[in-house]
Amino acid sequence: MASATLTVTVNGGIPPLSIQVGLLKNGTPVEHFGQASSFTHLFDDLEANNNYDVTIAGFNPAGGNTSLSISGTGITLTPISDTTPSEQDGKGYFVDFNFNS
Amino acid sequence: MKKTIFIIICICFICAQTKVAAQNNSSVNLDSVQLLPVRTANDLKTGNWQDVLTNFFQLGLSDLTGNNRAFNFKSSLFGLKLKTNPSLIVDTNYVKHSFDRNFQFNFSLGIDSSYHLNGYSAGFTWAAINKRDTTLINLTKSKTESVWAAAAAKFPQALINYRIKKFAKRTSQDSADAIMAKQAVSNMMKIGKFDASLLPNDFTAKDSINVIQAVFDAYDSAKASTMQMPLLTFTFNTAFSKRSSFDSAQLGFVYLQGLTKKGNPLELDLRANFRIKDTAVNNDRYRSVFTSSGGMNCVLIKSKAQASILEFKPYVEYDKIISGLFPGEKADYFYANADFRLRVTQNIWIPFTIKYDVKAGNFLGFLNVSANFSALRGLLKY
Repeated sequence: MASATLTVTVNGGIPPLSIQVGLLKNGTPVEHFGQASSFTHLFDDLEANNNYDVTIAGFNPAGGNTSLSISGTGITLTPISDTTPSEQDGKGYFVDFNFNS
Repeated sequence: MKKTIFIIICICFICAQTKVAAQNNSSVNLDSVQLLPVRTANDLKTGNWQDVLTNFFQLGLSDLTGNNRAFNFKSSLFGLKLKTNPSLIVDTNYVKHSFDRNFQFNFSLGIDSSYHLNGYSAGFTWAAINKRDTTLINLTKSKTESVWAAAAAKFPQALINYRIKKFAKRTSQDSADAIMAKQAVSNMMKIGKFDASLLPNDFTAKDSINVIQAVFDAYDSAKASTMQMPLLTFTFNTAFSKRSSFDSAQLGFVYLQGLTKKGNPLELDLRANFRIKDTAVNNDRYRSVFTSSGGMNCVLIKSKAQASILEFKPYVEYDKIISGLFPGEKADYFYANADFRLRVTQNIWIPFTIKYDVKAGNFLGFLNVSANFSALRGLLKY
């Protein structure tokens, strides 16, 4: 079994709306939740030999930014994945970490 | 030679002010994180407000062409603490330091016409009420949150399913379309503007994308409303001559309240100040003055990005000299004034004031403004 740890850190204020996180396995939603502030979340029990997407969408506080990173055991980021760590400025962001387990 | 050195120092400080203001929390490093300067909020603040409460750091020069030049430094307590503990910028820590973010201190060094140090001053400003902090906007309990949550549950899945469908076709064009769709959504989230025409024609989930524009509009509206909320600050400053003898002290308050929710911002501006100054050389007589003003700050011109460019503030001013009247001087004055403030760069404003003495029927300040700019032009000829 593989696992992945997602870390999202909001800087310079609080996110005005929740940070929305989704886990999809081969395009099928597995898990979805929202968080109101910086957090770390463990996706465990990732089945081997599958392709996963961890999507994160959110808004930055005025003038602030958000840093995102993913790490884990038994996972390999694919070439189409956003890089990790990722620093997102601007008004909002949408990040997709795509990996094979 | 001294004038040349002073001009060079002025230019360096003007450049430093922009850089320092841009660096404020970007001087913090969290491992690989390099924070961006707090520009958006500052862009939207009126210059009136920026003078009252700085963001993190502010360097400035005053009375450049007069006989009492001064270098000024302001910082919030939070800005200082951030230097030693960068993790304070993280949201969970940030919210716990409300007092630090609303308490700023300042000091300045005075330089006379001979470019010698002629005194120093120090003080603080405390924002007892600061409802204008846009970094604390929280819409998680509003209807906007439910709209956002519903959209955010749909559009990532739509993008990924589109990618899987396109990749399955195994053509370079289809792969490029899939990557382009994801990149377009990321860019639109970053700039806060959604345009369905930027997505591939065969991307069918455009409705879920368009809903997000309404979320951005709600957030922008919340920011604009926050900028109109009350701000009440108390300020104390004291000054000393170069021999460290007491020169003056002042206590004041400023109350700002936005009056409009739409259109160009209009702001109520109330101020009062009590100042006591040592005016005597050979005796102990002090001069104390009470100053009060009330008016409206109006944004006349905004940029396309809604940043304030030119502001106009008409206001009335009443001054009462409580003690230390000079021979032949009146005890009170009543003025009708107008301030004009022009944004030159993102963080630099040029203000100038016209004063009209209602009782005496004289304009004051207008000629001084012209003379100052002429003198500045003269200094630059070298």
